[in-house]
Amino acid sequence: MPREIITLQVGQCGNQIGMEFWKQLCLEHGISKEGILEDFATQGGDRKDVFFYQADDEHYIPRALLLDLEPRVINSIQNSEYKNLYNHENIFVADHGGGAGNNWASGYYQGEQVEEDIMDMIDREADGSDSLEGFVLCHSIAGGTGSGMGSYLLEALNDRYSKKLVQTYSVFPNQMETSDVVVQPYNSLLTLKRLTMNADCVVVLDNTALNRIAVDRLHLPNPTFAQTNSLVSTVMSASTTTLRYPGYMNNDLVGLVASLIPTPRCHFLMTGYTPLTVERQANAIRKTTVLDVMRRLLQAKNIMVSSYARTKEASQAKYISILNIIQGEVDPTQVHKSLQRIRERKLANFIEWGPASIQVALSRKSPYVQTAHRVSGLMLASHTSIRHLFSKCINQYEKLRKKQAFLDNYRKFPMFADNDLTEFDESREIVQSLVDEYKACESADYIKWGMEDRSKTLAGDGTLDISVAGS
Amino acid sequence: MGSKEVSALVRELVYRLLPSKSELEQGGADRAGRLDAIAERAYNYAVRIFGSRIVPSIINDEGAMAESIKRQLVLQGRSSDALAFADLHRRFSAQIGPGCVENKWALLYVLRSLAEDQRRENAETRGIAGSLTSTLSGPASHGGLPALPAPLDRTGPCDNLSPPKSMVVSNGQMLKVQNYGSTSFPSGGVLILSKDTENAKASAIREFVELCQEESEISEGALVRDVLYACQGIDGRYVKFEKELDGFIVDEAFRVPRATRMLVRKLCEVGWLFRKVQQHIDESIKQGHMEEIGTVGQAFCASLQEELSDYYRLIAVLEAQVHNPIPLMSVGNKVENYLSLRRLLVWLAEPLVRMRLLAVLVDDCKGLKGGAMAGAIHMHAQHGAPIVRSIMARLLVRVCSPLFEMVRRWVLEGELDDIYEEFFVVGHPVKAEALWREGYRLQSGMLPSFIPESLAQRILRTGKSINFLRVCCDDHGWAEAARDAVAAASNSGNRGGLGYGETEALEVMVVEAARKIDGHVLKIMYDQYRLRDHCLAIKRYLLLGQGDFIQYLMDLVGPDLSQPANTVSSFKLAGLLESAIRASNAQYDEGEILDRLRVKMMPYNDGDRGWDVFSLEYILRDPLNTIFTEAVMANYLKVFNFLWRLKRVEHALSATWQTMKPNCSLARLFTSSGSAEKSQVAAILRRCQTLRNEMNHFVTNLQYYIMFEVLEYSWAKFLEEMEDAQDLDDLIAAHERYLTSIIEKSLLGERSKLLCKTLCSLFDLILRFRALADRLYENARAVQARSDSSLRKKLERELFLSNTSRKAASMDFTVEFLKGMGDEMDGVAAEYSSLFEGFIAQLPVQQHVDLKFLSFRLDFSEFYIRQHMNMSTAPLKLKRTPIKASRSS
Amino acid sequence: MEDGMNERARETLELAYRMSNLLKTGLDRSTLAVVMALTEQGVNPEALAAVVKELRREAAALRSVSFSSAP
Repeated sequence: MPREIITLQVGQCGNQIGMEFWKQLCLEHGISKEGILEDFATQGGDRKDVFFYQADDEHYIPRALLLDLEPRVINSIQNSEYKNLYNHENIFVADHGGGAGNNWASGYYQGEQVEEDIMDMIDREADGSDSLEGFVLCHSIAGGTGSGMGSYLLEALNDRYSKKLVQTYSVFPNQMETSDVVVQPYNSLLTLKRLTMNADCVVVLDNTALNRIAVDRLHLPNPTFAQTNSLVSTVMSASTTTLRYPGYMNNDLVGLVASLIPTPRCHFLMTGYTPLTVERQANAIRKTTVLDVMRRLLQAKNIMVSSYARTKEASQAKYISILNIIQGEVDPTQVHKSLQRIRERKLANFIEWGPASIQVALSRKSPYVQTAHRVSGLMLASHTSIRHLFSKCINQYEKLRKKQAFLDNYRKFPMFADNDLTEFDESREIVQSLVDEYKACESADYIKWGMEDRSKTLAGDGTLDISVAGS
Repeated sequence: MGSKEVSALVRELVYRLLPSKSELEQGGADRAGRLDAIAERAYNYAVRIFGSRIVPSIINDEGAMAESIKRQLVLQGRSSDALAFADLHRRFSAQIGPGCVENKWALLYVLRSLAEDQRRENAETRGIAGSLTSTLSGPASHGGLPALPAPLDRTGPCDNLSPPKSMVVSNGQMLKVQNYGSTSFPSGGVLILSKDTENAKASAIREFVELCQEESEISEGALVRDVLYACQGIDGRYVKFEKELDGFIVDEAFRVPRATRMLVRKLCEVGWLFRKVQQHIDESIKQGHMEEIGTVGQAFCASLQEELSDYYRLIAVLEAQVHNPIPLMSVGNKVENYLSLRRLLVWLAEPLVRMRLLAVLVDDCKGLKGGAMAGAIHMHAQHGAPIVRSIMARLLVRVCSPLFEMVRRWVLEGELDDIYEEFFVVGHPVKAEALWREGYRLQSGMLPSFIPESLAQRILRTGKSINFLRVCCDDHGWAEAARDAVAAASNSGNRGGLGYGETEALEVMVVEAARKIDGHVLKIMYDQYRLRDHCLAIKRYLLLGQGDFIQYLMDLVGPDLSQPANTVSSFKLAGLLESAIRASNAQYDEGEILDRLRVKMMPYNDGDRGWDVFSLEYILRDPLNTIFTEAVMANYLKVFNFLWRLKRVEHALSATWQTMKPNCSLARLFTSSGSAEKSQVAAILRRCQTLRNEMNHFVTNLQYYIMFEVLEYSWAKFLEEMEDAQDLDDLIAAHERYLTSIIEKSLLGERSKLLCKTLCSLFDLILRFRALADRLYENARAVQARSDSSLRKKLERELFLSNTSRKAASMDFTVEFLKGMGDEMDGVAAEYSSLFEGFIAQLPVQQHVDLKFLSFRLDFSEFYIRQHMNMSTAPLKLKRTPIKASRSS
Repeated sequence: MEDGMNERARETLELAYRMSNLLKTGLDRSTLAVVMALTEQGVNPEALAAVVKELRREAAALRSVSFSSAP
């Protein structure tokens, strides 16, 4: 009974990063493009059954659902070398194949329409696992399918599998360039509400930062989606290594996430990765130490969220939690010294309302993948600066909303029928409260935050006993 | 020496020197007939003399000898002969190679000795008494250096007699002698009696001697005979053993000059010593209790016997001479081979030294046996005198040979061949698993001092290793290893024979054997019995390294373990263990390893839950249980129980997080405008979440500490030490250090009891918190459901709440309940704070184990320090100061 | 080789004999050869000298007896 994890890849972006993710996993576990275990993959020690299941004919099949409302990306997968990897029953493409037209409302509505089909697929996968740990959703929040249908699925999963963990890898749009998707702010806001309410853990993958990394660090002048997606898949596979290579600690997703997310609302994680460089020689010569890795992971240039910058506002930002997953040959006895050095130099600011620390998980590196780097590191962290990303979303939304622009596209769908835009308002409120809560986390009084306000309003309300409010 | 050749040569000598038959026949046939008998006697005499171990009393120095001869010639006024001799000698000594004489010194010695004798004979005819300047008198007269031991003390009675004239060679006298020589040795060889001072002195001496002899009732000859008896421990006619004085003395009844009496007593010391030695031999042999004497004791007696037989031989020679009358100075026309007391003193000087030594040994060895005896004898071998050293060496070689044979058999065959308990290794009958640790030990009393302790330890271990291989490992490859060792040892210049004085050879052999055998033991342990694999398996299963397996196991057995201990079926648990193995990566482990993993239920008390008695064990048999003894496994059990408990707490916190996870309905509480009730719930929930976070932070970081600083650190060290281990003892020690390091650092050691207790209280509190949080969330959901219309119906159905009045009542109940919950949560939080404060405050003051890594991890962001500063009550602050100081360092 | 050895042995004996004569030991050539052989065998020279002396005494005794009783 491994703690199985079912992956849902929704929409164009979701399927693209999902495909990259499975490619990476196949490589790391020595599974061929057809899903058959390679002859050389005998070293063991890895756990394939968290993400794959074994069919009768010794095929390893990803526990993955490929969902889209238009066939383009999924077709390309089905025509690729990996076409035999997936279970074809787990592929869903809308019959009309017209997509969601970058409209959240369309994606959400269509999701509702095909709920039964998709839930059947999910149920089948869930029934096929001994002790399902949870779901991982890959999507983008800006488009139509990933955001809209993804949102719907989050609600549905939350309802149906309330005890299971729901984690998402959510790609946030590049805010530096003008997008061809003009309604991106609407879509983002509406999706953010679901990510706040219906997901347990959101790994924020900010295209702004991914692009910057591709340009600055990988020296790619015009990075393609494929290129940034491979960054995402690297992060995804790295963040799951402790689940796939069991050790003394961090063997389950719940345990991993539980220590990263102390209070339920602040469940948005940013990531950092090293080495992110093509200057391989320089790294190959120097021996990479735990300290090197940990220090680099705290540097802004390696962080995949754009809001993590040393702006004046960000100087108040604090880490709520940090987990460094370090892969490769490192000396476990060096961990302590590195932590000590980092504390001495005050490289990380932590919250003041509770204990916090840098957790370090050492994980094996796949013996089948040759890399120029002997050591690599992934940081998963909860950092209050992420609120700036959400604030930006609200600002952009408000700019559009003020102009009442493009709302007609949404009014076509039941949720917004009869010009009922309360969903927008509610979403804005929720995202704003999320921003507020992160801001509150920067103060030492977070524990009492929100309580006094409420008791005041309650006192005015007068519907209940005063004594209750006092307690 | 080739005795056959010698006897032929002696016969030849006898034949050459005795008159020929034809010569004698001129005087009568009967005399010729007597010749054969005389020749035979002479021959026997010569052989006996050559056979005795008379050590040359002067040092072999050809140059000095030639020089002495030249000087003699010059003294005799034959300077030209001296020159001629010098020339001859130069040519003679230049002769080297085959066909020429090797022992030139000996030849010169004989020539000079004979020359002197001839000269003296000539002189004697002139009436000079040369009786005391016999060949055996002071060696200085022979032109050599005096050899050790120094001649006996010549004070006292000695002065009564004239000292040999060569003993008092001074320049003045030499001159006189030269004068005398020049007159008394005319080249024609005609004998002239010259009345010079020397002659006058001699006659004075003669008169004095006569006076002395008249004074004595007993003739010197009789005394000599009696002394010789006494030398054999027998009472003579005059000389008897006197018990009170504990020595041989001349019977008081006889009148003997005091000086003579003292001389006799002195001479009889040998007899006294002889008696003692003989007595020891007799006792040892006659008593016949082998277990009291042992093989070493026997060897000792045999060597004593041998030394004594040499002594007998000398006595026999002396006895043969007893019958020759002692020439009086007045009579001295012919020097017979006679014995006087004074001559005896010379003859017995060396045997006395020997006998003294033997007697001392006999004394020292009383009641000792085996190695102890060899050691005692060895103590006397550290002696400067060559004679003592050579005797001791001869003796020790014999005495130690049984001991060395024991060592050889033990080291190469693992046989403890020691029925008389003489060996310094003793065996005890024990069970196989205790063989290594308790089966054999060193008996330091039996360890002779010429074998150093370290070597003895090696010897002990090597034989033990062989037995270990034979008994515990069922291995026969050691014989080959031992053979290799012998071969290697003999290659390195040792003939394979061992004996006293060859400690180096012994060491070479032992070291070689130890290296081979130890290597073989380690190889067997690593390869055949897969020590490394088992250590790793223990690390993975008993020390929870195989995290996924442990997690499934906990998931599976959790429900059962929550039951009272007496209702838990260990059979069922064994089945669950099997499932956990199959569900995790443990399934890829070999059956050989997995078969050893078992559920172990510890004895339980009333009220114990399954959690309290459940544990895992790893079964190891011969020979690995030599390393993994019961005590060791008990320690592993202790560590397992601790880690398992820690995991359980982590598991509980993780489960609690899942009940309050971000997308649970309660987390959406703030979305709709809040009611006071909800706000209250929210407050309690926040409290609950942050408390969980605090606990989780503690448990997680404690686990990181355990993993990095305890388990991995110790393991890395253990691997290093395993690599360096030369023998099983090293390996056992390395493993023991590994386990001790884990126990100490996990705060399970004796000295960490207080910390461990606090830790357990913290664990218990966290488990209590979990139950509380579960209840809280259950009820909070009910509260939420009421205010959430969409959920209300569902909940009403569940709770059968149909009318509003009951709803109100239940609401009151809820308010009350929430208040209770809040109080309870506050209580837990307060208790946790104080316990945790206590724990963290104790960390830096632990003397025996460095816990700064742990305290550093537990308060990485210095949250607790700040918290403490804010609370800041003076005494507490004082208490905290040293901690801060130690941190900054 | 053999000749050289015999030659040298003869020479050695000759030298020894001349020394012996010089010292008036009274040994004839063949007796000296025997003595040399014995010392070469490692016989203690002290003992050897004693034996030679003893034998001489014996011889002297024999002779004196035979001469004294001669008519």
